[in-house]
Parts: sequence; structure tokens; C-alpha cells
Amino acid sequence: MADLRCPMCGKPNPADSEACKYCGARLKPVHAGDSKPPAAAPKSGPEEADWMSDLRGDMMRNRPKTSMLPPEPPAPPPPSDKWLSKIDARGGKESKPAAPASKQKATREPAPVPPPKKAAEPSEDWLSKIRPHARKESPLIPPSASPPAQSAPVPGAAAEPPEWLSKVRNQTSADRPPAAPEEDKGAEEPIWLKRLRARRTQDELAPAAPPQPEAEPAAPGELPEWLSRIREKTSEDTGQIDADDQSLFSSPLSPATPAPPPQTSDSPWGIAAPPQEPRTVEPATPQEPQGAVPDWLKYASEGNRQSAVEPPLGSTDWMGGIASALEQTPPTPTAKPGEPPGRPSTGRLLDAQDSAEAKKGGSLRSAGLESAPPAPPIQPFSQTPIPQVPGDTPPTLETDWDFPSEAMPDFPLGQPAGDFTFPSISGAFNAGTEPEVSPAGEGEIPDWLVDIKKDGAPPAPSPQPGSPAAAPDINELLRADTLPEWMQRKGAAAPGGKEAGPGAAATTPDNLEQGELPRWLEAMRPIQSVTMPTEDEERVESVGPLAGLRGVLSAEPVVAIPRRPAILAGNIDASPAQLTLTETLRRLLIEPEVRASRKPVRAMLLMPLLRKAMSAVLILAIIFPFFGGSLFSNSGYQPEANKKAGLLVGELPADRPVLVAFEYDASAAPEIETGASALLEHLAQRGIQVAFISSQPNGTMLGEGLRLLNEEQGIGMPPLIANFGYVPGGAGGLRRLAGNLRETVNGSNVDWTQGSLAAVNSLSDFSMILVLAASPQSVRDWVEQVHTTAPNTPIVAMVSAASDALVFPYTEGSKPAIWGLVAGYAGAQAYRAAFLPATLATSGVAAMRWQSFAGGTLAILITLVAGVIGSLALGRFRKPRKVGE
Amino acid sequence: MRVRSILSVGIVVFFGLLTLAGYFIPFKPLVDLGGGLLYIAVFLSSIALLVGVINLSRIHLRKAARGGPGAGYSMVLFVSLWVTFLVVFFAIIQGKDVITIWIVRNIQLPLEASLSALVVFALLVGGVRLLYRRRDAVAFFFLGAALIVLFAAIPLPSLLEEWLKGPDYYRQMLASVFLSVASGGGRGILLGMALGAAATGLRILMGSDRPYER
Repeated sequence: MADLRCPMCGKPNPADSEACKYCGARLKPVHAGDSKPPAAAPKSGPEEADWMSDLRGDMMRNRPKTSMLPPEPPAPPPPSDKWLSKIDARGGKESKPAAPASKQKATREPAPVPPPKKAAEPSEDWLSKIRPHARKESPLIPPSASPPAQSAPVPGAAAEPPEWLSKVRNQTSADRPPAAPEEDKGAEEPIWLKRLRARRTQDELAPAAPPQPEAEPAAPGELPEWLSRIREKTSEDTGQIDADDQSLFSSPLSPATPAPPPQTSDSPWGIAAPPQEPRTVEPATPQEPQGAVPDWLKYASEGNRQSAVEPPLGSTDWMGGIASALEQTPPTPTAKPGEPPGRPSTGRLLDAQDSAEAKKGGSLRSAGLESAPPAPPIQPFSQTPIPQVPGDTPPTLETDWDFPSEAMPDFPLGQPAGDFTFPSISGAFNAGTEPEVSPAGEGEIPDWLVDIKKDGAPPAPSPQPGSPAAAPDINELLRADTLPEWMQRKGAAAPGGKEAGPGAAATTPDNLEQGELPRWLEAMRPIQSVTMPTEDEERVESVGPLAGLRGVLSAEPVVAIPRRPAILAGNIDASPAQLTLTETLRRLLIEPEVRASRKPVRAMLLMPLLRKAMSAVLILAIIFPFFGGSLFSNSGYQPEANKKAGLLVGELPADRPVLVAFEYDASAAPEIETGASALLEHLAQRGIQVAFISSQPNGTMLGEGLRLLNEEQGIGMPPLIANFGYVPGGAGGLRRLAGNLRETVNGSNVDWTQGSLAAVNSLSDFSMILVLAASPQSVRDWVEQVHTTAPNTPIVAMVSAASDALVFPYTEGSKPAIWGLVAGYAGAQAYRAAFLPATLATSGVAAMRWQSFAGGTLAILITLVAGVIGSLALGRFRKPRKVGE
Repeated sequence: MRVRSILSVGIVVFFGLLTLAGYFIPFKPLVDLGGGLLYIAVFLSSIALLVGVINLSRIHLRKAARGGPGAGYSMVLFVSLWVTFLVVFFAIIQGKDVITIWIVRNIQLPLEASLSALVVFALLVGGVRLLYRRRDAVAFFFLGAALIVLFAAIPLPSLLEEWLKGPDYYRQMLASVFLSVASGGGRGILLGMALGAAATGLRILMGSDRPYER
């Protein structure tokens, strides 16, 4: 026995298998007229409708952007919940003359009251409600209701539904709850119907508001990829492309199209489409501009000028839009008359096109299908009265889909076509590129339903087992390589999953084990975090033309709408370690003050003691020389730069003054003034005059005070010939000072004619510049701004010990910017010991200050060493901190 | 870019380049022009300092008038500031700096010097606890450098100095180590500062940095 290869996974299966044992896909194809339903047939009811509506919705979403509707003024949206009822209602009242749109509601007659058996069907089973009436054996349809145009042997119109679909319907009817009243239809509508309605509303109404000329027909590339693949597959199957198919898509507005026959008064569609020539002889002529007349109005005026035209106003012409979109696509190979019937993979899409033609006058695809076997006449299902509870109000257009009356113009039904002009008719529409729209509300018939009707039109032979080529290969349509990605995923998830697709079996292969997700991964799954809105949660549009509609697609995706996730913290499966860390984080964030108050007692006691101990050590070291005498030697280490400074001062000419810059503030005065005093004493010994200057606001005040203080103490100070005062501007001021001294310090208290100052015109006339600075920045300013201007004037700096490291580089090199450097208290003491040994104090305040400085520095050194050792010891025995401490 | 911005950038770039040219080109009119521009800048900086002092006193006066915590300190600052200003101003006018010098040396200097002396305690405590809190290579390096510098700077006790018979030797050795390391670091810092200053000046001269528009 030959094995059957799975069309999905390609693995061999026994020939008698219905479904693939590996992937669950159906092995035997589904036939339209097959008496045996597929094993993995879609479930009845909403699940079936979901995937089918998804399929249709995908077609609608991917249809070309070209407007499928004529750019007419905003028409009242079709009734949402009772649109099927209105189809039947139209069928019942079609013999009545049409009234203007504004009066349609009043002129409508109630639909015929169905027998109680039919009335018991809930409204959600509209498919099964329509289908029985399409059968010719339906006793409810009078023979006279069939119009002559539809009683012609038109394939598709007189189709017998596929068997599997009938079974599905029957199963749906069997599983359905008891019948509900007619007025509860809206509440009982399935979700897929609402979704479908929402999509239709968004797709149709949105482009209708701003009339835009769209002349470009749908390009092939604008079709969905999977649809294109299906079409390609179809062309491969048919083997050739009918070149005359283009004529099939030509608009009935074409001049070559003859005038339609007079519309019979009992037309179920309200308007008869013009009879079309056989497509083999119908040339694809361009459309003539028809002014501002839509095509459907053209039908009415050109066809039979009948007054019973039911305009699409308020009708659901979305199906016509779909058909028109398919018509705009390039010619697709269609079924030849000689081909075996029942090829939904080919005919599904093409018949959607045909359905548009069929809607025009109830004549489904009369062109090009003459050779098809004549099908028995079928009663138009739109004539079938919708089951209603006696006494129920007839279905009208008064639904929540209606636009405000002022937003829609009255439709000029009674006027001739030439007398009426829509305010906005696109050129594309006039050029004949606009899709054909069902003229009389016929578009409410889903294309797939017309599809099925057409497929069932020819007497489908019973498919022979093992001859899949002659069968309606729905598996071919649902094949993995032709399906869109979302359907593939769905199908892939079918085995073992609840979302098994229609073509997948809900069986788990034997060679696969049921996998188990890790707990952490299972906790992370976003199943409950993002929930799709249920029927109750569907939002109701509050503003705009769609106000009042439920289930309108939102502008933002569902995941972007803020909502509280359904997942709860208690559902998180956390390990004990994770819980511990969570608790620690909570304590850190919520109880910081409590945590701060939980300092260890040891630290609370140790730190104050440590501080007090160190303070005591320092104080004792400082005051010890007052009681213990001179413990330290008066001499200190003298660096080379220090020696060079003393040597330079010793060699300065006595007739040239020295400029002394006081670049320190009061906080650094005790340290700087120690070295400044030594240098000034040295200058005084040399008899050199000095001039004070500063770029600090109170620098010269400090210098003047130092000089006065030393003079009061009997320390010799050099004669001050000038106090230039404060030079503002920082580095800029110093630069200006270096450029033009006399203009910069042109103060009233400076006498440039006095003494040696008379010979000073610039900074180069000073024998030396002594910079007493507390920060390296001041030294750098003098070096960069002054020394570059007066390079021959040596600079000696006395800086703080903290600035030693940054100033010291200026003293290096063959031509150092700073000739000599005295750093800190130790440097000043070394300078004094080296160049002013006579002034080195061995007693008194000056000597005690040196001894205190030496003692304090030694105490700091010892304390630091002890601290390092103690810290290392304590850190070694320190217990590690607990988590959360 | 607005017209005002273009105008300001143009002025800055023009006068900046002019002053820069005065630095490098020994042309007397150019040098004098640069000096004049510097004088304007220095004068404006003096005015800016005065404006800053006025603004500071205004803030503290408002704070003192509003009351609340710290209002007394603000009042003391405000009174001290303007009293000192008036005293120094009249002292300069009369050519007597004695009062100014007395204020600086007997009020300002002891206060600021005492505050500076407290830094020693803070540094010492921080140094002692450094290895207790942070024990890495940087901490060890920092403490080692501090110990070396201190050991090189302090005078040795007389007894130890006599026992060592030549204290300058080890001090010089330690100082050399310190200065060689410190000199390298200092040079790097100075070079970085110079490059940063040059880059900042170039940015201003090129108009890419406009601190005057902030």
C-alpha cells in the first residue's frame, strides 16, 4: 500500500490515515461536494467563523489601497447587527418602488414572518440561515421570486453548498442553544462577526470621509504575499492564463457593455446588473469618463431605468469592495469550461471576482462560462425571509451604524443618473478603475459564500478516492508554503494545542514527548500580562462618526493601551533565594531610616573615641615643646630649589627694586608668611627696595600688615617704595600688567619719580619677582602671563607645602620659569637656617612654633602608621556583613 | 541662528583674534590695541566683582528680612560686609590703610587660619580610617606617599639626628623619591591644564563654544 505524504511536513503516512500522525495535518483533501466531512474540520460555531473571518479579514487588510468605494459623501454605515436581516428584508420588499434614502426606513416593509422552526435559529448562524434558502428545495421560496436574470444557468448562483459546509452548519445548529428572540441578535452575535464588522467599518468608512481621487488600479504587488502565491499556484494548475480574463474585470460602465435588461420587479437584489457579454468576446476597453455618476447609479440609469433601485446607501457593500479589489488585480487564470469542477483553490479568489458580477444582477458570471454545465436555478438567498419572532419590528436601517442624518445627503434615487452628480467623484472612478460596487445592497453577501454557491453550481461529481487532483483541494490552499505566516504558526501550534487549525489534528505524535517549561520560564510567559479585550471589554467609540459603535478598532494597539495586567505578584513562582533578595530590597527602599538607626554599637562607640584620641595626640604634640623644651633640631632638609632662591636673593643688585606679589588669602597666611618673612628679611639685609602688588583683593593688605607686624617686632623689613595694590582681572590683569606696568597700576598713591621706582617702566626693570602664593594656579598665572613678557626677570616663589608638587616642575630645566622655590614651613625654616642663621630663633615664640610644628607633624606620622596597622588588623578580623545589614 | 547670536559670535571672534595677534606679532599698534582690550576686560571684571558683592548682600538681606533659620547669620554677614566696605572705602580715600590692615590681620586672618587648621584633623582621621573602609592599591599608594612626604618633611629629634650622623642623607633620598614622583604627576597635570586652556580658547575663537550666551 502506498503511503501518503503529508502536505505539511512531508512525512509518509499510511494510506488510510485521515490525518498526519506527525504534524496532525489532514492528509486527504476536502472536497466541496464530498459526503464525508474532513476529520479535522473546523469546529462549529464561533471557532469556525473565527478562522474564516480571519482569512477574510486578512484579505481585506491586504487589499490595495485604492479605494474600493466610490468617493461618495459619507454614507450611513450599514447596519451592523441586523444586516443579514436587511438582506432578507430587501428581498421581501424588492417589488416595492424604492424611496429616497431619507425615507427608506419609513418605506420598508417588514420581512415575512418565518415559520417558527426558522425563527428558532439564533442570529449568529446566519450562514445556515441563508444556506437553506439557497437550496432550491426550500419550500419558503416561491418560484416566482426568482428573477429571470437569476434563473438563468449561472454557475455560482444555483450552487449547492459543499457537503462539509452543510455538515458544519448542521453541527453548529445542533450545538447551538435555544433560539433567542430577534431583538437579542446583537447581543448574541459572535465575536468574529463583530470583528468583521469593525474591520469593515474601518476599511470602508475611513476612506469615504475624505474623498480622494485614486486612479491607480491595484497593482499585483499590493496583494498579500500568500494570496499571490495562491494565484501563482492557480496559474500553474490551470496551465495557461486566459488572456480574455481582463475583460472579466472590466467595469460594466464600459461602452462595450450592453445595457442591462430591464430589472424585474421581483429582483431580490434590488437592481439588476447589466448582462455581460461573454468574456471571450468582451474587449477590455477603457472606461469613458462618466462625469460624476457612480457605476452603480449608472446601472440603474442605463440598465432599466427602473425606480426600484435600492442604493448602496446604508447597505453593506464591503463585500463588493472585496470583489472590486480582486477585480482590480491582474488577470488570473480562471477555470476553463473543460476543467474539472470543484477547485476552490483556483476558484475561491476568482469567484470572488465573479461574485461581484453576480451581485450586479443576480447573474453570476454569465460571461465566459456558457459551456459550464447548467446548474439548477437557485433561489436567491436574499429573498429568504429572516426568521423573526412574530410581532417583532422589521429590520430597518435604524441601527447604531447610521450616521447622523445631516452628514449624509439624500440619495437621489428617483432622479435619472444624468441629473445627479456626487459632490466628489474621483477621476479614477470616472475612468473605470473604480471597483464595482454592489448596487443594491447585495454586497452584504460574503464573497466566500458566493464562492461556495458558484462552486456548487455545476454538478460536482463525487470525488474518487485517491484522485486528489479532481478534488477541491482545500489542503492545497492551506498548504504551508501558501499560507501566511500567522496561519503557519497557528497550524504549527495545532498539535496538542487548543488552537488547532482547521486542517490540523489535535493529536500528539507518538514520537514526541510533552515538554515541560521550567518554572522560571513559565512564570515569565506573557499569557496573562497582555490580555486581549473580551467582548465585554470592547471599547465603545465615543466621538466621531463612529460614535456609539462597539468594537471599533482603536488607533493604538491593544498592548499599548494602559491597563492593569492580570498577572498578580502571588502568581510569581520565586525561589527562596529570590524572596530573600526581594525582602532585602524592600528593606533597603522602605526602611532606610530604620536601617540607618541600626548602626553597630561598636562603630558608634569607636569612632568618637578614635577622633578624640587623635585630637589629644595632636594637641599634646603641639603643646609639648612649651614644657619639654626644644626636642627637635632647628635645621631641616633644604632642597636644591630652596638653595637657588637664597643664592639669587644674595646676588640681587641693590639699586633695583624687587616686585613682591602677595597671592594668598588669610587662610594660608600663617604658612606663607613664615617663608615670606624669611625672604623679606633676606632682602632687607641686602638693602633692596620692594614694591607690593597682588591679583587677590586683599593680598597687598596682608603684605602690608606683615611688614608692619615684623617692624613692630623688630624684624628688619625692606623699604617699600610702592604698593601697587590690587590688579583685577586675574590672568588677564597680569597680562596687561606685564604689557604696560605704569598704565595698569596708575594709582594716585604711586609716585613713579621716587627713588629707584623712577627707573622702572616695566616688569623687566625689577631685579626679581617674588611670588608668595598659596595655590599653584597663582604661580602658573605669573609664569604664563608675566614671565613670557619679562623672561629676563627671575621669579622666586614661596608656596605652601600643598602646592609644592605642582610648582616644582617650573623649577626644572635649563631655563626654569621659577628660579628658586621655598615650599612650606619646613622650607622656610631651612631657608632661614641656611641664609639667615643669625635670625634662627632658639627660644621664644618663633622657636616654639617650629618645635610645635615638628612635634605635630611627627604625631601625624605616627598616628597614620598606627591607623594603617590598626585598620589592617581590624579589617582582617572583621566579620563579613550579612545580607541586608 | 539668530541675528543676535551671529553678531555676538562675530564680535567675540574678531576681538579674540585681535588680542591673540597682539601676543604673537610684535607690532606696536596691535600690541597696544590688545592691551586696550585687556584693560576693558579687566575693568569689566572689576565691575562684575562689585556686582557680585551687591548681589550677595541683597540675597542675604532678603534672607535676614524673611526670618527663619540662618537669618541672624545673614544679617551679620550683611552688616559686616557693608561696614567693612565703607571703612575700607574711606580709608583708601584718606590714604590710611591701617584700619584695613587691622581688620584683615585681626579678624579675617585668625578666622580663616583656624578653619584651615581644622582640616588637619579631618585629614588625619580620614587617613587613619582609609584602609579600614577601602583596602585597594590606590589606598595603599596614597597612604605610602603621605607617609614618605611627612617623613621627609619633619625634623628629626636632635638625639636621633645625632645618632644617624647625617640626617640630610635620608631626607634627601626620600625627597628625591617624592619629587621625582610628584614632579611627573605635576607636569602631567600642568600639561593637561595647558592643553585644556588652549582647547577652550580655540573653541571660543572658532565660535563653537559660546559661554557669553548662557
